[in-house]
Amino acid sequence: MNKILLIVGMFLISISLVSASIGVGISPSKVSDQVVSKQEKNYTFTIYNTGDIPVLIKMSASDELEGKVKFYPEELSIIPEPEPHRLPPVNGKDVIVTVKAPVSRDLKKITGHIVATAGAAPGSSFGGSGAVASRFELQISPPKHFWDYMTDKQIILVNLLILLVIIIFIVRWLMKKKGIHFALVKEEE
Amino acid sequence: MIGKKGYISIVLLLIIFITLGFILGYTLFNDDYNSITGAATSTVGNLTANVVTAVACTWSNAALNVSFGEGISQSLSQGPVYNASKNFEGYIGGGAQNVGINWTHYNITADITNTDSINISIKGQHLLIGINTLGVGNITWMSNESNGNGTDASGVIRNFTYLGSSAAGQNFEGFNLTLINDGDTKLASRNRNFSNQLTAGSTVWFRFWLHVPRGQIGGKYVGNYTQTCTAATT
Repeated sequence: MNKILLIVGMFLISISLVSASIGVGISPSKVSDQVVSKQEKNYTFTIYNTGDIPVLIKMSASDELEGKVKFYPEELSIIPEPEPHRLPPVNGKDVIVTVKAPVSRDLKKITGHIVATAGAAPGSSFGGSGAVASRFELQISPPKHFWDYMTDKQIILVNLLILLVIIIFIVRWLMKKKGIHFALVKEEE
Repeated sequence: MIGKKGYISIVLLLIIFITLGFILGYTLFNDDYNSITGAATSTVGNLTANVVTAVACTWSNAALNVSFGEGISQSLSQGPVYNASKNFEGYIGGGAQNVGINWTHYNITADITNTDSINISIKGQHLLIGINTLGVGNITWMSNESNGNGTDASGVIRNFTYLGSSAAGQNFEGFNLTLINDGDTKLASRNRNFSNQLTAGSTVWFRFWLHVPRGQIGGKYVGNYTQTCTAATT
């Protein structure tokens, strides 16, 4: 009896695997915003599953957004939405997308996509991935202060230089106080 | 020569001017100053709207699990061109070919909740085994927004099939995953438009074919592709 139940169970599982569909959704579908150069801003995207099996979603950015975006989290597992589907999604999960605007002297627009990808099926010769992308437009205005043109590395370098100058002044002051001085003296033979 | 009294007068005048400036600035630029007064009742209404936009796509299980090599494509004379395994799952042959029975199991559905029409793009990468490459340009696809086959302008049902097999106008030809004018064969990734303006709740079907060039090293090649749904711009 148990064997029959097991066989029937396996059969039902195999049917459900064959008919399984993979779905992924993203909200909002498009974002348009204005930021100042170097400004860091967070956006919340809701990712949801319109298929009928749990999926692992990977987040990424494309086009001009590549390298300017961080995701929290970068991967997430989502269970399917109940039927009939509706908005806002019931089982959707939020992803915080942090965008850091690049420095621009002029008013500039960068465009790209925030992409949520459901993984490829293993074992197939031409495995597919399903993805949805939210269109993202960011208008960047020039910096408010001149130091905003500087990158983080440049700011660190300038600070190090200032620190070096201060140390030199302190050392010189201490040497003067103690009556010590450097001199270039030719070595006598 | 200004005396002590002169200095005091100048300072007092400055204080008076600054005070007047503040008063004038407040009265001229404060919104409340120009607001309606004396009405018996005043009603202020707020309109708020939380607009939710979203796009979602659902792929059939077969659509993300494509395998080739399980049979030479029907009615082809181009040499070794292989059907993807679910291209003609329901094919019963003969005259039934053109009445929609030979459906493909590869499809994408735009979710019913979508707030925008969607565009779908497809990007594929070369199939590899060890150091051997089977270029993604050897894969042909054809998509169609009806259940399996297409209907031409005159309403005649036609099959959507492999590139170059459009014999006697009976078929819609497929598209190669390599751009027609793209001469750079070293590019590992190709991106082509797949479907435009798919409305909420509608489905697009597709088929894949693989052409194996003569002299290709044998083995199980593995590649992958991504189909991306994006809100249409217009």
